[in-house]
Amino acid sequence: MHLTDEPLLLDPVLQETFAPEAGALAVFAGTVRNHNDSHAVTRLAYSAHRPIAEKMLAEIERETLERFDVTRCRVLHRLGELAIGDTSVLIVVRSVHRAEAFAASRHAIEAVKHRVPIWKLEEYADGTKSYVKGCSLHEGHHVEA
Amino acid sequence: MELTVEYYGMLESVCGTRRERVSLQGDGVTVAAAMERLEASHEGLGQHRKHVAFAVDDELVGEDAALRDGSVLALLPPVSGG
Repeated sequence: MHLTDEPLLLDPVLQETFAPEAGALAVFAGTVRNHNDSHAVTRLAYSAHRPIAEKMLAEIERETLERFDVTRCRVLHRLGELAIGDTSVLIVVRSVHRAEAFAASRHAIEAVKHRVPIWKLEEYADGTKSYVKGCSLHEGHHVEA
Repeated sequence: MELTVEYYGMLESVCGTRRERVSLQGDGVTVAAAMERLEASHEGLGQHRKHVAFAVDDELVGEDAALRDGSVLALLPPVSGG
């Protein structure tokens, strides 16, 4: 499972990915911030095309393992309503040395942002809501419109 | 043929629904042909067309993919996970 409606917890992922041959551990967590584009954000809601998002997150893990020759890679994403400070995405990479762990975790989060069908709905201090501009799946680029 | 169309992200508010059943004439209708029909019934959908990706029965496809009776067509706007 890569998607969850429950809070993302780091400790279980650290236990799951333990590897005695790995001397480097890189953790990236995305957290909900209280502002975006000069708007005060009060909370977020993430939704997904769950079957495809699950497949894409598993594919990103496999691809990251192969491309960067790391020992472990887990990519987890939260769905549902999140408060300021909550963890929205968690990436854990273990490798023999540090350089590949940093590079692999960077690759994994960029892939999540560009390729996984998940949508972020922001709620603002004035009560209005708006979906965040994103990346087109079939064009693979950021949409400015 | 009968099609189920799912609207994700901001397309849910553009089209005013999360999921709907649509009847189309003939077999082997493509995603592009279905989109023409959907754009005619949902004002505002057309302006998002070039940035929308498609999935049929949980697989990403192109606009030339064929639909079958009972297919689920998902419209996926630009993504913003992370």
